[in-house]
Amino acid sequence: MLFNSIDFAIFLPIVFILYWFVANENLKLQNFLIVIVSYIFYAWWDWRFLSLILFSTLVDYTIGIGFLKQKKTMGRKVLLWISILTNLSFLGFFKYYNFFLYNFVTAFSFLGIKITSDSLNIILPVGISFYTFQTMSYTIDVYKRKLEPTKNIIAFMAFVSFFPQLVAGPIERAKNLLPQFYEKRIFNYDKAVDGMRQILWGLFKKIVIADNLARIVNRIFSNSENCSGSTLVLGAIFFTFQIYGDFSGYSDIAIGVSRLFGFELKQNFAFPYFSRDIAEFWRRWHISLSTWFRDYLYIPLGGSHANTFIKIRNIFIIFIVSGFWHGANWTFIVWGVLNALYFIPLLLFNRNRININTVADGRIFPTLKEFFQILITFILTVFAFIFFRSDSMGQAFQIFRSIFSHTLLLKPEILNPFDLLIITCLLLYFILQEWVGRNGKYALETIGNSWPIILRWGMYISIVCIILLLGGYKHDFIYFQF
Amino acid sequence: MKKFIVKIFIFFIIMLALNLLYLYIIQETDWDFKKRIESLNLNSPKYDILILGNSLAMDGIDTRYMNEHALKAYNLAFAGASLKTNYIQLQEYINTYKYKPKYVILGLGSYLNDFKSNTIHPIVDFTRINNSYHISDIPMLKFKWKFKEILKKLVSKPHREAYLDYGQLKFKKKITDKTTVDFNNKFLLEKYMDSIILKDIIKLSSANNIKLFIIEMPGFKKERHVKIFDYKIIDEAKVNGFLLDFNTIEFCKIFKDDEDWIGRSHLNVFGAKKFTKELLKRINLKL
Repeated sequence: MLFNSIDFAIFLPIVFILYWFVANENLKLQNFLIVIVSYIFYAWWDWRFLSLILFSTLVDYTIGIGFLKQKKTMGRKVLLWISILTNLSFLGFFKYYNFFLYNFVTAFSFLGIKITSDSLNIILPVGISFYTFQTMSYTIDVYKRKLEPTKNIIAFMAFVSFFPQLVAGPIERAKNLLPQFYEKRIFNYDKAVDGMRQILWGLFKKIVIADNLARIVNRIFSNSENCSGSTLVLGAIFFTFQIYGDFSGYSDIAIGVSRLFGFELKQNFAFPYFSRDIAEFWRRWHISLSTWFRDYLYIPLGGSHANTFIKIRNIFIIFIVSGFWHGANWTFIVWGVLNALYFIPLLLFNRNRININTVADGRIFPTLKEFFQILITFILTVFAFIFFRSDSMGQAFQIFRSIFSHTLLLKPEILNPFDLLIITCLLLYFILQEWVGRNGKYALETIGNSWPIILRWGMYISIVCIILLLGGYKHDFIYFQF
Repeated sequence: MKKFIVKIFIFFIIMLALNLLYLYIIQETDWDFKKRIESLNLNSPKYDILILGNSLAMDGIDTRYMNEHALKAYNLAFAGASLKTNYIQLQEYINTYKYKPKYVILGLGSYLNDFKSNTIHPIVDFTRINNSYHISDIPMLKFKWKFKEILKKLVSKPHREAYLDYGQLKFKKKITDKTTVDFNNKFLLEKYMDSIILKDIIKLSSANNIKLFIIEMPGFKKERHVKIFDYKIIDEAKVNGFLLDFNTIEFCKIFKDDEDWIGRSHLNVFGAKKFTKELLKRINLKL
């Protein structure tokens, strides 16, 4: 079920009514209802893959209970590895099997050895990368004794399958989300209103920005060999906004919906395109995944408290794994490597934590220096996203060849002037709104709170009208494929 | 909770009111809506010729010219209308009015249209008799593309000056055809022959003694065909249907690259007049 569908518009109020009016008095019933509706939500795509979620849930729940009984270090390690291997083998099979097979066969063919092997027609279960990481974080935290294992199976099932963030995150830590299932939720008006506001802004980002840009970006990237350099640059810039609108829009809706049900999820994006360097960008982009890799991979490898060689190695590992997490394609790996290359100089010169605060804090405009820092970071991001969006390395190189040619100076030919005018206006409004609201957790959080009700409602209703009237045609969320 | 529910309720009331307002505005200002309402409320129509099809026919067939030459004609074509929509329109017209047309001209472009689409034009769908409404029929969603048309009218003078005349949308704007002829282009006869909905339209016309002319509308140079394709009898038993190709290099010599087009393969008011004149010379409409 897509958040931007009529189905979900009917599903959500029904669940809301059942949750607050029928199951309100009973915590177990509330949790049980969440499990049921989450499974329905997931089954809307493909009910067969529910068995995967259920299996993964039961494995990690049982292993969690096993930790209670197992006091010996070796025994605990065995349990941990059973969990990790089970989860990663699911992920490896469904997501990476064909990739490894293809590269294995290609590598041997280079050596003159011919291996015949058929790839499998594997359907990627939606959200597998997200819920797998979520359950793994539970087991690792329990193993490290940072978290008490739960005996409440319904609460654990609800934690793994919680429908707002099941298929595209934010990837929640058990430490943050699981305890929320132990306490009875009480309806909070301010929280619910704030949730609605965040849903509204998420829908704007997804339907107005991402879906409108998707049409243009898809046309350019599917026909890249016939496009001029200037058109491809525009396509890459549009994709950079598309993926942000798409993914952060999903996160906003997920967080907003969770708040309607009394839950608090982590902030997943913090206005990354206003970052002044790549280190800041990575503190603000897909925060739940970045921090997951930081805590469960980077720090265990030694983090930045090691010699220079180890530091560089760790940065490469974390970015390559992060790229690979996004998909079984060399383009994602190169995207990761490129980001590592951007990041390493900042780390080596100890400049990776100089931009911690919000840019132009307390001011309306950035300084000229800040403006150019933001611009350069954005250009670097666009450059890297060309690999991310390309179907193959061949296509990515072809795009770069076209960009660095005389066709860069030609007029881009993708849109009629009227459509370009509308897209430009919408993008400018979007950037302006994000800039004004950059101190909040999402752009609309702080805007208009002190305005008279007519103005405030006028703004909300205008946004709804823009979504309905100028929204693009429905596309799946990009991150569902990861 | 009560306060939250009340606010949600008020919000939905406001959105409902805005949707009704939007529906009212597009009904009053949009060409397609105006034409649709007009065609459903014609007072004893005596039209002998009905034009059906999509935007190629809506812009490119001059019904005023026909009326000035004693041929009572009305253009029912819509931008983006599928063959299924054309079928529904014809069926509706036959069922609604006692006076049956003698001819139907169905203007299509095999180079542009999908003849297998089962979608119904949203305006025709919304205003169909006995239509059952669905939650996705919310005017702001169903007719969202019409909002861009309103914006276009605000910023573009030619859009403001366009008008409906016997159902034809008359645009004076000119653009230049900068494309070049592709000598490999062929008339896509199979596309016409394989269309099930087209067969239904032929059957419906035959059953009502209406002579049907299915015409391939003229297009930009790159869409034109090399060989002249005169006509094909569709329904041999009754000889009620003809398929004629007006998108040949030879025929399209009547058009000027920089005078007669409003958009890609769409004729403007000047091109439409030229085309209609030639069309009437080639097809014999006996009333």
